[in-house]
Amino acid sequence: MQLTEEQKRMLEEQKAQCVFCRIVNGQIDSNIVYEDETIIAFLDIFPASIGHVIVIPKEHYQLMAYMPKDVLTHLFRESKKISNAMLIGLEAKGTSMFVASGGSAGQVLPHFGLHIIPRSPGDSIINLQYNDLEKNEALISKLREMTGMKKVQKVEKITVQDKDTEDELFDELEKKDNMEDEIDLDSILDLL
Amino acid sequence: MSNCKYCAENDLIYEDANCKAFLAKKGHVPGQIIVVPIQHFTIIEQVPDEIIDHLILVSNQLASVLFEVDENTTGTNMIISNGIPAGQEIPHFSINLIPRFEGDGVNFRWESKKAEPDQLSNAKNLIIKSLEYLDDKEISSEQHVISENDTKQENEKKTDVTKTQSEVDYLIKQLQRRP
Repeated sequence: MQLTEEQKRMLEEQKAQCVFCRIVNGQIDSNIVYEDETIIAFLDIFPASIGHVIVIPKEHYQLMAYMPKDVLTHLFRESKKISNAMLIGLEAKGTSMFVASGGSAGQVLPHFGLHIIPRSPGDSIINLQYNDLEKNEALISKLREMTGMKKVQKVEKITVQDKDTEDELFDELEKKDNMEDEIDLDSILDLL
Repeated sequence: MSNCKYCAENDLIYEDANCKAFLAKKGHVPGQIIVVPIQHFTIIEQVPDEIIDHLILVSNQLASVLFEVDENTTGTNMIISNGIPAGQEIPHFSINLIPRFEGDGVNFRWESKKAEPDQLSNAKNLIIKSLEYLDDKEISSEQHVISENDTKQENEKKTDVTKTQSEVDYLIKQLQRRP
C-alpha cells in the first residue's frame, strides 16, 4: 500500500500523539511484562482486573488487518504465553482476549492492542450474553463464496516443519486483499 | 470429541485441514463468525503454536470478509474466552469474530478498576516470573496438552479450566520452589 506524502505526514502526526507509540519510545512509563524487537506487553493502568495486560506491535498499525503476518503470529504466540503466565502466576481461573477494531467496536486508540484479562468466577467483566441468532442461509452462501470455500480442500495438515502451507491457503483471500487497498486508504484517511 | 458441538459443526463458511469457521448459532450480533481448530483443544494454552499462527491468520482474513459482506459493518471485535469464568460456553477453543454497527446496542467494554501502584508492580513481577518459568521449562503447548482421559472428564463435568488448574497448581508449586 503506497501512501502519498500528505498521508505519510498525517500518519507521522498520528504516531507522535499515539499513547502506545509513546509507551514504546519510553516517553510514558509503564509496567512492562514482556518486550522484544517487534512487540511490547504492559499492564493496563485502568485495568478490568489486576494483571490486565495489553500486547501491542511496536510499529504503529492501526488495525489488525494492516499487520504483517509474521508480526501478527508472533504477537499471538507471546500472548498465549502471557495468558498461561496469568493462570500460573496470578492464579487466574481463565483469561479473556479482546481486540476492538474500529470506533463502533470500542477501539479507543489508533494503534492495534490485544487485551489479555485475568478472569475469576463471577467477576462479570465482559458482558457476554449469548442470544439465539437466526440462521441466515443467504449470508452463509455469500460468505462461502467470499472465502472461496470448496467441498474438498487440497491442503496438507500443518506440521512443525512445514510452514509454507499457510501461504498457499491465503493465496485466494489475498487476491481480495489487493483489491481492497483503495478502500483501506480511504478508511485510514477517515480515521486520521 | 464425539459430544462436542464445535467438533460436530458442519455448516461451514470456511474449512481447511487445520481449522473451520461457521456462523454462531448463539452470540451477540447476527453474522458473528466462530473460528475453531479441527483438533479438539479446550483453551489457548493447549493449542500448539503452529495452529495458533494458522487460526489467527485465517481469523484476520475473515474479519476483513465481515467488512466486505455487509456495508453497514464499521468495526469488528475479536474475543477469545479461555475457561468458564471467562464466559466460555463450549469447551473447544474458539476465536469469535463479531461484526459491529453504529448503534448496535452491544457493549463489551469493561469497567476500569482502581489499581494501586503496588498492586500493579506485584502483578507485573508475578507475570514476569511466570514467563521466565515457562521459558526455563520450555513448556511447549505439546507438552502442556492434557491427556485424552483428562479431556473426557473435563467435557463431562464442563470444568475445563478447573481441570487444567490441577496442572497449574503443580506449576505454582514448582514456581514457589524457585529461589
